[in-house]
Amino acid sequence: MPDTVSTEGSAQAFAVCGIGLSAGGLGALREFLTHLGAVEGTSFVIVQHQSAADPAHLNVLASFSSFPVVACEQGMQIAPGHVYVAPAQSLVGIEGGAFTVRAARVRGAQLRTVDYFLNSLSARFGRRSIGIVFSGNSADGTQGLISIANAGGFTLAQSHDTAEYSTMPGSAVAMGVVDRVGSPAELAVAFRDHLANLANPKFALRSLAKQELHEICDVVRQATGLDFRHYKESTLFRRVVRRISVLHLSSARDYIDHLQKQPEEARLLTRDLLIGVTAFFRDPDAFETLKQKVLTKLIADNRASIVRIWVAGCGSGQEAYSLAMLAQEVKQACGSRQEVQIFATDLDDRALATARRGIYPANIADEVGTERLERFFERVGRRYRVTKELRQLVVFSPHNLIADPPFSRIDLISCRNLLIYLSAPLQKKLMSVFHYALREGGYLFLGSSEASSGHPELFRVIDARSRIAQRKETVVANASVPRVLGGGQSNWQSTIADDPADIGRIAQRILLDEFAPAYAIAHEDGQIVYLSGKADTFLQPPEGRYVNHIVRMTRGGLRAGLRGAWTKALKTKRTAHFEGLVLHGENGRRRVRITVQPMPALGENDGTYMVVFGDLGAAEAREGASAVPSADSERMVELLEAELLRTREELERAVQDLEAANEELKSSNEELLSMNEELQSANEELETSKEEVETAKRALEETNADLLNLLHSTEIATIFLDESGAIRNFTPAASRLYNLLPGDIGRPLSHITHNFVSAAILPSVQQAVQADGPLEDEVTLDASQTFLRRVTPYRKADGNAAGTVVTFIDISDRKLAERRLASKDAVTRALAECSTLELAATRILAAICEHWDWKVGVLWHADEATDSLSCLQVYQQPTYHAAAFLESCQSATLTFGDDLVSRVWRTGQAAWVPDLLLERPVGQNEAAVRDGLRSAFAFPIVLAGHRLGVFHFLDDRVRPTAAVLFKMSHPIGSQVGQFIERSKAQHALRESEQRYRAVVESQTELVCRFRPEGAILFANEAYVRSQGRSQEQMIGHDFWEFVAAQDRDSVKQMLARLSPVLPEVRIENRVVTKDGERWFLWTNRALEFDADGRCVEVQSTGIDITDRKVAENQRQLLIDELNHRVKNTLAVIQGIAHQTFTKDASPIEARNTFYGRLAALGAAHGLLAQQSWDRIEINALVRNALEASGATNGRCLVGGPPVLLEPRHALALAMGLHELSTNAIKYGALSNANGTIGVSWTTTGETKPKLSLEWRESGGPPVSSPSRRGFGLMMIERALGGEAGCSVQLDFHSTGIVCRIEVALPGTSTSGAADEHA
Amino acid sequence: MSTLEGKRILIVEDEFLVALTASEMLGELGAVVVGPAGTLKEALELARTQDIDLALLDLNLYGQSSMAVADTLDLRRIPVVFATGYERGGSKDAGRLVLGKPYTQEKLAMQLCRALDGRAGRERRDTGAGIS
Repeated sequence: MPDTVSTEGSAQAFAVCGIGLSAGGLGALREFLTHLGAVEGTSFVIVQHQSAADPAHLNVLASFSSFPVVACEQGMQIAPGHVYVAPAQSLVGIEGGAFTVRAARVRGAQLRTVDYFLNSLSARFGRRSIGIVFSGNSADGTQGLISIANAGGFTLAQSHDTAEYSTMPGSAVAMGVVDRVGSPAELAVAFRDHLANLANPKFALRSLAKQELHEICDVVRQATGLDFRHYKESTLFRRVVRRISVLHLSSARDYIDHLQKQPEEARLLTRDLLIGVTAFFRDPDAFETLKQKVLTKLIADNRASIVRIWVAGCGSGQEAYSLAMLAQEVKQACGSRQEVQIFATDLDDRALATARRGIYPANIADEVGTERLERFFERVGRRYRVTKELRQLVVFSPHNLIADPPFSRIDLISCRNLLIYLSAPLQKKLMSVFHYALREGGYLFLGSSEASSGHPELFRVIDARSRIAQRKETVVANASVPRVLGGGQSNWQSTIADDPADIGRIAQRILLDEFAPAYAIAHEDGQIVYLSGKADTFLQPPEGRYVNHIVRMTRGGLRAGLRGAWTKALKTKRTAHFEGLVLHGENGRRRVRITVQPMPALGENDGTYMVVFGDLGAAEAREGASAVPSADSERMVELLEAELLRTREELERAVQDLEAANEELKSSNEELLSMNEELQSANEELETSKEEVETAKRALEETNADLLNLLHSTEIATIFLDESGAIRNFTPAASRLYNLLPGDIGRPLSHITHNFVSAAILPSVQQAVQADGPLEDEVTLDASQTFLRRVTPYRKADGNAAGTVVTFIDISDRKLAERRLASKDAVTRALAECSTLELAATRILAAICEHWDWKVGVLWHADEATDSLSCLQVYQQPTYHAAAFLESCQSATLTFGDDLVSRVWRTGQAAWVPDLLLERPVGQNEAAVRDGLRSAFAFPIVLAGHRLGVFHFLDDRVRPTAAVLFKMSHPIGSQVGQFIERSKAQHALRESEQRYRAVVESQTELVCRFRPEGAILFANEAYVRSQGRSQEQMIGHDFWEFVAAQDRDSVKQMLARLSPVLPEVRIENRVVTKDGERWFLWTNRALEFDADGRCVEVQSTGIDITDRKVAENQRQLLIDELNHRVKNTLAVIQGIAHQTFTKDASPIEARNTFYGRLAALGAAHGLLAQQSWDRIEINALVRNALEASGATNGRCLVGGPPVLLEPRHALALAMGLHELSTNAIKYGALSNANGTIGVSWTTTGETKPKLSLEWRESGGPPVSSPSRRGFGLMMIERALGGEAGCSVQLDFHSTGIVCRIEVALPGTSTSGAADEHA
Repeated sequence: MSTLEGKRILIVEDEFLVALTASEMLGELGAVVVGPAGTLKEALELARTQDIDLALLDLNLYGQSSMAVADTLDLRRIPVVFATGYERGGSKDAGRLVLGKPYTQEKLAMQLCRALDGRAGRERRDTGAGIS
């Protein structure tokens, strides 16, 4: 315990006083310091909650302090004679003689700056630390004062009647750790006294005499009824020394005096003595064991009676509540409704009060654990209170375990860390008390440093580690109940029924007092412990040395009888009588009967006996001489008695010597007992270690067995070799690889033959040790079995290598899997990377040949059309030549034959021929055998039931069937099948795509896709061609480039009409092509719209309608022309009518004339129409005109060369001829039966060709010149005469009319005219 | 409205019967006929030289356009009425008064009078075609 400040290296020690205060504490501090005045060798550190250590505050303090007042700073050295003020909200501590200051993280009520400082102070200054707590409103400081008290320091607190807020000091006082409680002034006095004491160098209490301790115990016993004599001396010593120190006394003697004068001191000491460290679930493992092994058993049974648990020495209740929690938990876990009652007892009333309140500080959270804290506690401010449920389970009561009668029928006694304070005999005694208190099979739960094992006759150990024992069923006779007779009245309320004062009991007492015979009670050693009222009649202290012995004290005359009865009663433990005794007393001779009665009620073998002296009345003189003893005989008796007395005295001396020796023996015995106990505990420890050893051994055995089973089950061949390479051990699996027999252990492994085909030399121990990890290589047993040989050093427990461990792990499956994987991978890769089966086939064949060691591979391909197999691809290992076979394959076409390949194809099942020589020499089998191939394997390429081909592999060795290849063949076959199907489908797809493309590309319609803003997305071949560009030059270009400028606006408007409602519009517009502008009819279909319904992509299909457009225009022109001509013709007809219907003409004649003229016009038009209004041949014209007029051909001679006339000339000529013929029919040559008409013409002129036509009539009636020029003449004259080069001459010869007409022929006059007007 | 009484009217018409009829119709209406001219050459001559109040032109003279005659008359600010069998006037005669063939005497008089009332004629040129 450090009690000086060592860092300063100074011998002068000083005390440091930590003063904690909060609300209202400043006044108290002022009063304290004022009263204290000047003291030496001390410093004060003031820790406050509220005010800061500001200068003003320091000044106030300085004004009433006789020391300099300083604010604490980090690293500041503590020197005596100062008042240090800790800054607010800071945790101030002491380290190496200097202050440490750091900011407190919590605020308000959680703040525990005082506790923090006092704890630090106590650790540093120990006995020289002083703690004072003044007024305040929290629980801060209590913990700190406890630390100081434990360190041997001095603790003070303000009394509640003087403190403004008494919570802070009150909390400390309630914990019973405060040495002085009082007003600040009183505390100042106490403080000075304490300092004076500390300063006294003489005060160094190192030892107390045993006698003094005993005296103290006696005083305490008298004052409190509690006997601490049996407490361990060291415990007593420590407690007493502390009290002496606190009281500032200088010696044990002073303390005894103080103790005797101040009854309160006895109580304080008692409290100190009874302070036990207690906690919830102290030693949690033990509690857990108790829960599992004891409580579960007690509670799960669900028996009718209440389970009674007694917590002896419960202190402030933590242990009792811990058990209550466990009980509740067990009840809940078992679903039990078992009632449980816990009696918790202690000597200390204050502790019991605390226990009953059940309120504990916040730090119990660690002990209890969150779960239990939530379940069994409720928060009360900053502390926790045990729930009502739990408190109802526990009854607290004061009880002196040593003095008070115990409880009975208890199921479990928990008495932890109490026995350690007691001396061995008392411990032993308590063990029997516990035995008595427990019901049959009840349990005892002791502290970790206590043991029941010293009492094997009473308890059997259930769990040595957790100190749990069970009551043995043995009936022990000497179960004694210690009791301080005449005192120590038990005030246990709940177990002792109230005894109503009944008459019977009063009567008994009266009877006892008034009528009962005199009696004495003595221990079996004869010591009288109790005397009844009238016992003095029978007893008389003997002369000489006082001896407290019942026999010696008995009056003469009775002694012999009593001795006899006493001896008998002691021996038999039964009542012994002795009658016929005569006592010579004041009342004369009286007859006395002595009864010695053992007192079993006080415990069987306590050795307390009652000696009852029965007065049988006055002795009467006996009849006869023998009845009346003579004086001589009396004298003789006295002599004899004197001699007897001497003898007895001698005997007693001897006995005393014996007893002394006995005492010594007893003390040695006690020593032996304590040694025994130590041995016992040592033994227990040994037992425990033995158990541990056994457990370890069992574990080792199990591990060993596990290991063996592991080695057997994994079938990993393992061989253990020593340094020399000799076999240390091996597993059964190893004998498959090496020809090992159990007897081979010890022989070098190199002497044993192995079965490997190939194996490297086994590495030596050195190699194994030097290697970084295990040395591994592969060994092959046969073709199908490969092992991984792993050599590791065999290391002993000390880590040194003592040989090697060789393990063989069968990796055949792994190897196979690797090959499978590799070949499958190769197949997959080949199929993925090759476009045709031919290309892939070579790689697949090569991969399978390589991985599975086939010499030759062939892929047969099925042709569905011919239902036959043909060779698609062959492969042979580079090292092998099977040219003949492969050649035969390539030229072969297999149908359903009997050879392997055909069979596989037919059945769709893979097949294996281990030896081709055993097969029928058919088909490819024969060719193979000729090339030295012996075994073959074939599997089909199958997809969805279709057999598309066969894979065929051959080897030059005879090979047994390998299941793995069969397993593998299916996936490969179907994979290749899928490939074939896929390539077929792809081929078909390509073709169909090409067809489709051809359709699109070959159509003449222009197809393009574009976005309305103009980007072309697609343009078909026709479109591209129309522009004389390439596809690349079109795509991405602006669509509008190709729309004729004049149509762009209208096209835009039309496209803008595209909407989800109207997804298609037709537009006719001109397109700029390489051949110029052309008309197209576009069908525009919107393909996609945006969120606003605007079209974003359009597909247009355009048809060239230029020709149609031209035709339409042509037609329109024709119609216009036709209309023009019709109108013109109508105008001409109008003219004819105008000229025909004159006012002179008769209507009938005019009508007929008009009809005739119309008919002529019509005939001429008909002819013109026949010639498509082109030039008209004159011959036809003339004949036509004559015929239309009704001039018969037979009388008209028509002739001339063929001449072509212009239409207008032809028309005029036709009309003229009509008028001439009409006139001839009416009046001329045709008006009679003989006249004829000759129409002839010639052409003249080279440069200006002319037609000269002559109309000559003859044979008609005589002609007279007409009075009036008729319409016909005018018609001829005007129609032809107006024209250049045309003329009409009409002569009225007497023979008939002659008309000469000249008409300019085309090519001259017309061209001349054209020239003229150009 | 103007009358045709005493007005000198040039007739250009290649179809002599039609010209004859028109001449007679105009004669009956009191007008003096200049021409009729049947060829372009003749018509141009008359148009340049004659005292003319008004002209009735056939658009097509033996396949030749009479536009040159109209232009000549325009220069002299002589109103022109085209007589034509075409339903729709070509671009050349746009803005001219047109008389559709065949026509009645009333229609002839009406169109010619319109042409005489130059301003009114110019204003109504758009509807001219419709009237025929």
